[in-house]
Amino acid sequence: MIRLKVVERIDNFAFTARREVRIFLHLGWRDLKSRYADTFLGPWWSVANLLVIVIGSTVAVNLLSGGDIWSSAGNLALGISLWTLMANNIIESTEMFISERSLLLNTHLSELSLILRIAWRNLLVYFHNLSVVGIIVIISGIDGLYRLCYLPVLGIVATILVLPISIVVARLSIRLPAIKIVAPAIIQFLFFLTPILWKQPTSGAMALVGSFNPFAWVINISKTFVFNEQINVVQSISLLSWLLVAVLSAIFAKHIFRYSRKSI
Amino acid sequence: MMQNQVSLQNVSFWRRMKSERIGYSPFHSKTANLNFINEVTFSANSGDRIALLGNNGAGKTTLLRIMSGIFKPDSGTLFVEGNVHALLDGGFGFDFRLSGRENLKTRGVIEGMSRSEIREYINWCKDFSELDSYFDRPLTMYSQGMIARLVFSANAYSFNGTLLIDEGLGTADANFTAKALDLLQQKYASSPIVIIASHNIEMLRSICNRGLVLDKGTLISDAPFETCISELREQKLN
Repeated sequence: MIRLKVVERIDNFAFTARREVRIFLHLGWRDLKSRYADTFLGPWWSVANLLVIVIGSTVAVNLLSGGDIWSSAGNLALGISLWTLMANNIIESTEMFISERSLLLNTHLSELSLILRIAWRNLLVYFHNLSVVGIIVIISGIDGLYRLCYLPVLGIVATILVLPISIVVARLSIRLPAIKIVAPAIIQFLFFLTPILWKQPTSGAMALVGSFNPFAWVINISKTFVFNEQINVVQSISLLSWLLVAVLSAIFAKHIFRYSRKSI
Repeated sequence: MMQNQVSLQNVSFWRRMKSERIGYSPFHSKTANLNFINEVTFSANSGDRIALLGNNGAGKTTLLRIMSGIFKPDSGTLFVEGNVHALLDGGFGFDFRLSGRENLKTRGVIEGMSRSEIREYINWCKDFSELDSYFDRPLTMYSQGMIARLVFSANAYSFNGTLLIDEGLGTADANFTAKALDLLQQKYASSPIVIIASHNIEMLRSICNRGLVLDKGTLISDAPFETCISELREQKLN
């Protein structure tokens, strides 16, 4: 009897999970179609946008520091594309309950699915961006084209990493609507504390900042994989533990969002 | 054959709301529980055609959301047997930058239809709504009447089980209205339980045999439809 109940629960969970995955994958894809409907380049606009930012910041950084343009372009392209992915996931989560109110009040769709929908659509944009990032990284010089295979994986890792932040931010945005105004400013500030435009030193204040900044862990580990830079063991362990937090937050999302539907 | 039943036993639903803010800090405000649904008890069985009556803010839509399982009651028990199909906000999830076809595809995915079911659903809606070439154009190009046709078709596609409807299903122009009402009558007749929240007494009179009157979240009357209407009239006179 108990065994039957367990099997039934697993069966129900598998059915719901399959349904929710199908919905968030569809909605994420639909969002992109809608966002770029009737535009000349479609999602490639985001690629053009990234290209302009990378060119602009590469020139600016090298004019200031006097470094080699080609070697820093790859680092910047990788850093900015990952940063855009993570920042958009968090910022868009602040508005999720407001923009999808009708879906939440008329369907059984879970709140986590809406967060994953945002993650999926931003991941799709990131995959488009990889066409430019890949070319710039090759021009910058990497030892082995196989390292390009890390790029999509790093995007997925970055997406999983910001999941707990997105969940908490989305939940808090119901009680504190000001979050949707404050979050972009905080993200902007964090951009300068993350080693995207600069390289993290091994000692000093900025090294300390980097060691406590989860975004820095992602950027540094990404550079390690793509450009074969020296691996930072502490940051690798921190990143792994943070990923565990992300998985746990997804598992307990139902409890985190427990009273959210009735509060919107 | 599966028996359909919806039963509520002392169901309450509340929400913590800020009642007073102290200063400018968002953390220093008084909060209080506001009862949306208060100890509601009733049971609906096969053959019941129930009208949910009450003023705006009485809790009709919230009660429908509880019965459909979108909201979980804070106290009391809800027992539902058989499928429940809720039509609360007809146009939910529609994206106006996309075509009618793409919006219906999304609706199909949300409703959990398979690919072949979605194809059937879209074809049925296209035929029923008579939108022709507009069906594949963005909703921004639709007139209000066209949107009403699409919304009606999207919601009136075949369903089985208990039917929960909020404010009826709006229809479009006169030609379409007759066709739509005809279909609705068939749907109401084939559904084992129909519960409709509306202010349109004439429409409710043609469908319902029982009424539930809500006032500020409390069920004040559960009686035959005409009795409920008389009670409502008396209430207004007082």
